Amino acid sequence: MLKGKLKFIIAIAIIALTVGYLVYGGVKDTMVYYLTVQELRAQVPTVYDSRVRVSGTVVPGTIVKDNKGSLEFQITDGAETIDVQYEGIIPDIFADDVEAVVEGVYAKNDVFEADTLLAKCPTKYESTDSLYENKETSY
Amino acid sequence: MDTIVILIITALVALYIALPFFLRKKDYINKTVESLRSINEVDRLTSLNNQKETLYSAIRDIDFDYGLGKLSKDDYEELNNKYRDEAASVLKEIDEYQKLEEQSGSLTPDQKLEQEISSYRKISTSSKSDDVLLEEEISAFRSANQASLTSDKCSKCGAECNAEDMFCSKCGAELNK
Amino acid sequence: MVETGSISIFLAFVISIYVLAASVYGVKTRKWDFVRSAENGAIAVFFLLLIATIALVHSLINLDFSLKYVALNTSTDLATIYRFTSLWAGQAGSLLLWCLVLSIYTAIVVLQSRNRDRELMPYVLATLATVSIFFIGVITFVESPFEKLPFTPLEGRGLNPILQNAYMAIHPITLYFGYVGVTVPFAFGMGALLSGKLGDAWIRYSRKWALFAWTFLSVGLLLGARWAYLELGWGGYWAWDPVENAAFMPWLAATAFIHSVMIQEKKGMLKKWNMSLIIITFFLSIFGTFITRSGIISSVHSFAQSDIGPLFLAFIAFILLFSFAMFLYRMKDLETENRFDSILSRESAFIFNNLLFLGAAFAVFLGTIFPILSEALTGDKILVGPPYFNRVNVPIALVLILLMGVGPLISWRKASLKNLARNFLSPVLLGILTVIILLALGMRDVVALISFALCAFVTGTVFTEFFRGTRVRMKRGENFLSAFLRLVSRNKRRYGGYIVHIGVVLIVIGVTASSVFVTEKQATLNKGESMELRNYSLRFDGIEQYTTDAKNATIAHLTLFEGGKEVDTIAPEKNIYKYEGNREINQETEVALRSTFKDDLYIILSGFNPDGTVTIRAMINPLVNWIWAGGIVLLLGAIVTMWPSGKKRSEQAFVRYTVREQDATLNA
Repeated sequence: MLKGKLKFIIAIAIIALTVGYLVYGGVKDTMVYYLTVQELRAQVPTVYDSRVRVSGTVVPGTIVKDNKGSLEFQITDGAETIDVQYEGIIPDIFADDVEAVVEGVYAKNDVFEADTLLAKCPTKYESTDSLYENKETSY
Repeated sequence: MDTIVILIITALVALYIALPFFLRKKDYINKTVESLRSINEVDRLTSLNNQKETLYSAIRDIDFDYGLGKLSKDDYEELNNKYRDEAASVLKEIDEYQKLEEQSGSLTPDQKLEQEISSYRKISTSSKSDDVLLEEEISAFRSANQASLTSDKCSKCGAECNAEDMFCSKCGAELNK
Repeated sequence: MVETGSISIFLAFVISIYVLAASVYGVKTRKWDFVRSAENGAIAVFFLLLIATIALVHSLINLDFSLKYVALNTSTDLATIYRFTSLWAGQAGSLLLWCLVLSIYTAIVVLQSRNRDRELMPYVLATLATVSIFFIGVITFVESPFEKLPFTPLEGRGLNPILQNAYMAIHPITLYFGYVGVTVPFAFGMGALLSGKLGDAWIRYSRKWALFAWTFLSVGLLLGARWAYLELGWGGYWAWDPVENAAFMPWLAATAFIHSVMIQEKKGMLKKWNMSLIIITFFLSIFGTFITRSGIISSVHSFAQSDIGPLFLAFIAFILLFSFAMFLYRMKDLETENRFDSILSRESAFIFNNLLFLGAAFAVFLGTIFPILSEALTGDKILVGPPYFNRVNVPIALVLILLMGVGPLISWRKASLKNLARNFLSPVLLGILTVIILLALGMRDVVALISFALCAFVTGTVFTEFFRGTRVRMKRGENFLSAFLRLVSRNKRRYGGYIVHIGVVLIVIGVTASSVFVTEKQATLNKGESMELRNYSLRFDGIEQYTTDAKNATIAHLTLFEGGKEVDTIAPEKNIYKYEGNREINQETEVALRSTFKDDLYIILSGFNPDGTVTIRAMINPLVNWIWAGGIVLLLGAIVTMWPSGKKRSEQAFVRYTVREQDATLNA
């Protein structure tokens, strides 16, 4: 019986270790730092050519689309601003002033080459501010 | 409008929740369980019946698995004996409960219901001994599966094979069907 | 109406507290009239929440903009059906729905078991009441759906156009039924721990409810995936987004539970394991609600966020502490009745299945909270993206599929080599044959080959099971059809489960093909120009633009050729909603989808230019329809499994017998 139990413990240990290894290897190979624009600029020499994710607000008026579907724009966090170049599907909600999240590589020419672009809704909270515009005058 | 509706709703809800307390005067709920037998016994009986069902389905399962060749003959017999032993002890316990009831006699004041209950008892326990009853119940559903369990002998090497098999499990010769 | 609604919620809150107190007091002191009264209270809570929901729906449909919730989620141009579905578009409405669904379940539990398991049920009711108190408390005091605005706006903020979709209308509610459904088996587990009635009663109830919740979770996940596929316009259906993971984690844990519970039922083993699993499942479901609603982890999906996060966190901590404390307290009563006989047995296949599901749940959980974890530990916010989830989960999934094929054919307790060879020969051959055929057809992707081979293997084992079972019955003189039907109806759980497995196989085939063999191309076309994609060709015929009350739509007309022959016309759209400003999204890409069982042609109009050219992104996603078909098969299988069986005579007689006796004294 002891032998049978031992077999079980070994089998369970193998599964646990395998899952652990997959998790460890997965994290190690796929992790990216999530930075603000300022943090990115602060790490400038070391950050070049490593994969990072940066979030910031799209600077109004900087969006340039060309016919082939590639896109250039700037994002800012108030303190610093970077240029972003992106090719791929543009999210529907991407526009001036939205919070954009880009993932890719910060190239040596100080242009962020993104291969992932996510856009977040500008209102993080259910804000009632916008309703005031439609305030009933007779109230 | 709203105020009236709210008042009505509140009153109805309060009434509904308080209902069991008013009915308490007739003392019905407390009597129900306490006077019959303790609720533990009701639970125990429910649990025994469930165990019985589980064991029956386990026996049906291994019968079927054996028929499909998923169980070896030795394992099948061992498991079958084990489950049948367990089923026997469960049935015995159920019967003890029911005997207890019969002895205590004046359980239900209502004549009509008394009749109905005792007629059920006749079907289920009648006057047979525990073992006869168990044998009957277990063999009843076993016989249904019997067809698939007869074993054949291989014409070539004489090994015992399942009737299900097309080929002998020992020598591989085709079995005559 | 509004007053009635908000007072109803408040009453429901008060009565839930009463239900908790009365049921515990009643069972402790054996004053059963208190338990009765608590049960009535639970049903009253259902009616009160129903009234509140009707009141809110009434306000939504009649666009009573004096309510904050209505003003935030509807607008005058919204179709009536979407005014109704905006009930679950925002935070407060969703929470109200959560409470309503929980109260429906509670009422069903009460009605189903009024006269049974009298020691256990009051505690189950108390647990359900505790969860209700929390959620109703949140909508009473923090996020009231009946909150008034200080003024009445003329126009509401409107419903996000990407939520105006049939799938979006039913997908959240399906998931809710699943999410909330997990509460019930948890309540039975807690009831068992609190009452000490750790026999088989709780596990029987829990199994049924867990299966029910699991079915809703599965269907809800698939509907969500289909919505994302049709509406989000990036060509995929699953992105390992935190909100998707939030629903996926309880699904994983629930899947483990509905498998391991069989071992406890049949063998009296794994009692501690099952108890922990159901606690974990419930924790993950509440945690899922928490990450969706709190915005603590950034996601593109989370629509309504607010500051109820800390409240949820406190509630989660309370649940975990309390339930594991109870678990430790009852530990000695959860000893196993049997032990494992052999590593080569169905029992151990179940154990491995459980470990893998839990391992997957853990990996997803870790990946989801990784940004928070890393920020807390190192100060840096580190993300793990879809590659992480794929790398970890794909191998686990492949082993699980293997087990799905092995499990049914391996015998309980101990499998012999002879038995293995006999049972597995043809399914294994089928798997190998699949690999050979696919290699011959030129497929070289290793993961895909393994996946398809395993799928063939599982299909082989399941069909062997059906075939052999039917043959055994046919030997007894039944014809094929009746033998088959009786086989299934006599053991619905087993064969229903196999049907579910077939559904899963179809889903796996679809997921494998559509994630490994995608062809994608983007091109800018002049009128009359064509783009080539595999053996398809798309010719751009021109743009059409029109305006409706709500939007400016641009349609690109394309003609599809397959192997040189004209087969179809395709028209992807891009809509710009006129009524901007207050909406979060004013632009919407309407995907044109040409779907067959072989592949999906997925066409997006990514842009149109003043010079008359359009930019078209086209994808060929093979076998995507198999995923949805698999979902239907899975649902059918689950229905077969849950289909109520005609009660056996003995059981029926027994039930009547005890119930009659109780009634007899009731009437006396």
